[in-house]
Amino acid sequence: MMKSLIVQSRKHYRRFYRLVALAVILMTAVLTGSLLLGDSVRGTLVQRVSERLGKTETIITSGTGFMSETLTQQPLLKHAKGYLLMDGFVSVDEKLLPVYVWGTDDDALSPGEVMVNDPLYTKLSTLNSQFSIFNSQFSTLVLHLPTHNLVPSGSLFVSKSYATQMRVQVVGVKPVEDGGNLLLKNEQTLPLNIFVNRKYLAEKMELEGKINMILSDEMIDEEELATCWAPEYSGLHITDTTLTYDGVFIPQDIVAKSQISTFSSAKPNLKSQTIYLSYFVNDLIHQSDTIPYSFVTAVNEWQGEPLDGQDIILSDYASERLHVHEGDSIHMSYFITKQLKNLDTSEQTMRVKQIVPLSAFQDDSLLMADFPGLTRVEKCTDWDSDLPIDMNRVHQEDEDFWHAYRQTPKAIVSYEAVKSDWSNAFGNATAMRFTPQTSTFSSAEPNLKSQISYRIFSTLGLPRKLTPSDANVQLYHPRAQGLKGAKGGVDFASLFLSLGFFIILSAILLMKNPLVELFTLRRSEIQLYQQLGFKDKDIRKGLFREAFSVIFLASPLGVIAGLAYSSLTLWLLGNVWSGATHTEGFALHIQPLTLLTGWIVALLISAITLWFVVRNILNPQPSYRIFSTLGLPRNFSHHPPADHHPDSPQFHFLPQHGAVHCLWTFMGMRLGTFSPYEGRASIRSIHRWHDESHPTYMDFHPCIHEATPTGLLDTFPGCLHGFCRGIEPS
Amino acid sequence: MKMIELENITKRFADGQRSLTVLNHLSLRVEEGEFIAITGESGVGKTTLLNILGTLLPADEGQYLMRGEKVEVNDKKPTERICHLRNKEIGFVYQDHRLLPQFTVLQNILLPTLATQTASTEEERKRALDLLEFMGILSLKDNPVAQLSGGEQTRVGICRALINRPSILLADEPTGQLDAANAQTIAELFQRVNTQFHTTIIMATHSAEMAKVAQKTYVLEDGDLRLEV
Repeated sequence: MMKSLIVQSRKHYRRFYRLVALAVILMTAVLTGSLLLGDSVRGTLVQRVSERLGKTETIITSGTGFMSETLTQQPLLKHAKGYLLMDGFVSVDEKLLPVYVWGTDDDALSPGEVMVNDPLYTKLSTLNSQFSIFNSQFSTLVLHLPTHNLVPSGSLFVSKSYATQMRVQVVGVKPVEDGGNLLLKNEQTLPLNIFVNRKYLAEKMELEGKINMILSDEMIDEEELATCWAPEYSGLHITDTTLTYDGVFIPQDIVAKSQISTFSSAKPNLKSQTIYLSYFVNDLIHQSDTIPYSFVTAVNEWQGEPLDGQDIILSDYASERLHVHEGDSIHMSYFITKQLKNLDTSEQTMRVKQIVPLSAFQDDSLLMADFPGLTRVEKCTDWDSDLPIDMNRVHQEDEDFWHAYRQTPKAIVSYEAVKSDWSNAFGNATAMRFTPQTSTFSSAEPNLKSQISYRIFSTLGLPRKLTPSDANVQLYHPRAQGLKGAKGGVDFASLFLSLGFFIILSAILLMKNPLVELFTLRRSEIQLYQQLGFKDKDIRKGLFREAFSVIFLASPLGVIAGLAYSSLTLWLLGNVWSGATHTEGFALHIQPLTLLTGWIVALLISAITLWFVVRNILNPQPSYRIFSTLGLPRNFSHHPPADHHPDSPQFHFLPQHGAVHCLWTFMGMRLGTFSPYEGRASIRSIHRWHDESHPTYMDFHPCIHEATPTGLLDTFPGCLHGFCRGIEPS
Repeated sequence: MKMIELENITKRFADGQRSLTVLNHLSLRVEEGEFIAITGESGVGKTTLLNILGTLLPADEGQYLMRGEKVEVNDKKPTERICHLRNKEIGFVYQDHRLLPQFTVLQNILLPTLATQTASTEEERKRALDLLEFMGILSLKDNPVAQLSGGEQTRVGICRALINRPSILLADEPTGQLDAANAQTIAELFQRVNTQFHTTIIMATHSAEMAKVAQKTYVLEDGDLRLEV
């Protein structure tokens, strides 16, 4: 029977419970929605990691250099694939789109055919409405590629201009699950990928047999990689006596580790070690004679003799042009790069130590480094470099020299004198030579290469061979990094809970106010229960059950509303607010535990709020406390007993009492001490006892009639005015 | 043994600096099964006296005995005994009926039975129907109370007050809002309740006609009771 009474009460007072239900739905929606947002953002970012990495567990890169494609034939890398990855541009409808160009052996792409990923396809379709992979006429693109070559593009002598163009045809869209959204950077924005036949790309870039990226589906660590890696894979060429590098500039670490500072104590077979550093100088000047734009090589020793200080050994060709003799001074000026890649000019004054035939320089091939753009051209005027070369200064005799001798240096200088100016971030030598004590090795002598490796590290106390990282080969596990980044970013759940805090607070008030009003309205009913002998705790329990049943029934609707709220917010995050998130296409990830948590927390907050309201409803009426303080009758009620007469001593109001009552009722309502219902009812009670002999009441007439919460706000000045009037002597 | 004994009951109400004494060393003795009426002018304190008798208000001075046992009421949480008295020993009929609009007639009558249990027993339900029949309104048992007339609501109020077979029935102006004919009917009903159920009845009224049905009439004036001969 109690249950049916609760149901009937709920139905009878549904007007109030509708507001309570609305508040509960709102609070549950914000709570659950915020938690779902956190899960969804995190889930989307984790999903993006999977999308952009595919099954890749290990990435091996060569930095700015390249590796040999034969490295992928090693057993350790049998589940790995080699790629040639570079940045490029696609021109579409007179616009340039930056893209990632993946030279791949997958997909059976013929030369000239490419596949794009979905974001790029969408972008191309947006820029060119006629673009379609089904129509060969409208699926052709022009791909612009940088002049990637073996020499890093950031080095001084290599042009950075995008010099390679390829006309390609888009034959398909690579789906996400096949690695279409492959991206190695930890970014949330979807990449624009274009997949090209690797061999075709290498051929166009003059990088045949080269890769710069290996992606493996297995976890490989550095020690394992070191077991299958050899310097040749990274373009290091170590013969019995020489060390050169495909990227021209040998990394400083390798140069340092290859140098034996005290080789005499290590029982070497080495007579000497020579470091070469070739450079392109602007001028060789002696008095009024100048040779523009020459190759000069710095060495630490020449023909067994150290070359130091400001010594320069000129070729006979140079000495004739400059009219110099041994002992003369000549100036050498050259470009250098300072901080922020600013180009500057430096000069050195050298002393001619020796003049040798040019042929002596020609005999040593290590003196002539191969700078692409500078050395592989027919004429001086064909030099292609970012250096500001003034071709007006190149005369016929320079062209004649170039035609005959190409990049043969006209002089060699001391390595120590120029190494700080001529070294760069990519290396500080262009070659090294190790001259053995004897011209041939005995059969008992181990291979010199092994000797070098062994002695380098035993002398320095490092018991290991040259490692991949020495050659700038890096290995990392992107999935762990990516997942860490995806999971460790901004906690959107906390963010949106914070943003939604005031909504939740408003919902609590929205729930509390109608409950207070309802239970105040039913105060006489509650008093009846007390008078019928119901215990206070049973009364509270009954009221709690009645209201909580509404909360319980409304909360699942709040969970559903929360789903809608989070879906809408995710759409906004990925579209309207994508500039702030730098991520597109957030997906809703629903975790049952999250829904349950949001629901339970909302129920708890609602229950606590309800408990406070119910607990307070049986406390003495606050109006009694206020009125007794003011000296008004203690048992004043808006339901006066039937035998009450307005003129009876208990309830005879003086004007100032009425004015104060109005004022206090207003204040009480504003402060939340009484509900609006109680306030309005009490003011109406005064109105029933309105006495025309008390003009003060007339002043409150508008106040009384406008006794709504907002109305009272407007009539507060009236109440105050009346209060002031009320205290005037009558 | 007296059913009710009030000795030197005093009740004051604070009015700022002033204090208003409503009941001033009032004494009253009511025998078991007696039907008394308390009359007086409006605002003289009849409801206050009834509230004290009904354990709804504490007296400032004096003592209240029921069947020789002291009844102690305070302002704070009612004790178990007080709840028991209110539920089992005392029935209250209000001038404004205090029927709950969300329940039917029968549900209103059975309300006091739910103070100590979650559902009324069959016996209680039968008793409620008997009371409705006694009052002549059995046909209205499933009606919402808002549809009843004043007289019918008063009868329902009386049924509710009697459902737990209280020893004492307190009625505060039960016919105050009724016309003369209905008031007379109600008066006779009270007489029948007193006669048939031997319930001690204390009725507050300002109607002399109403007071006639009682065995004794007291006049409350100046805070004290005077037996009217």
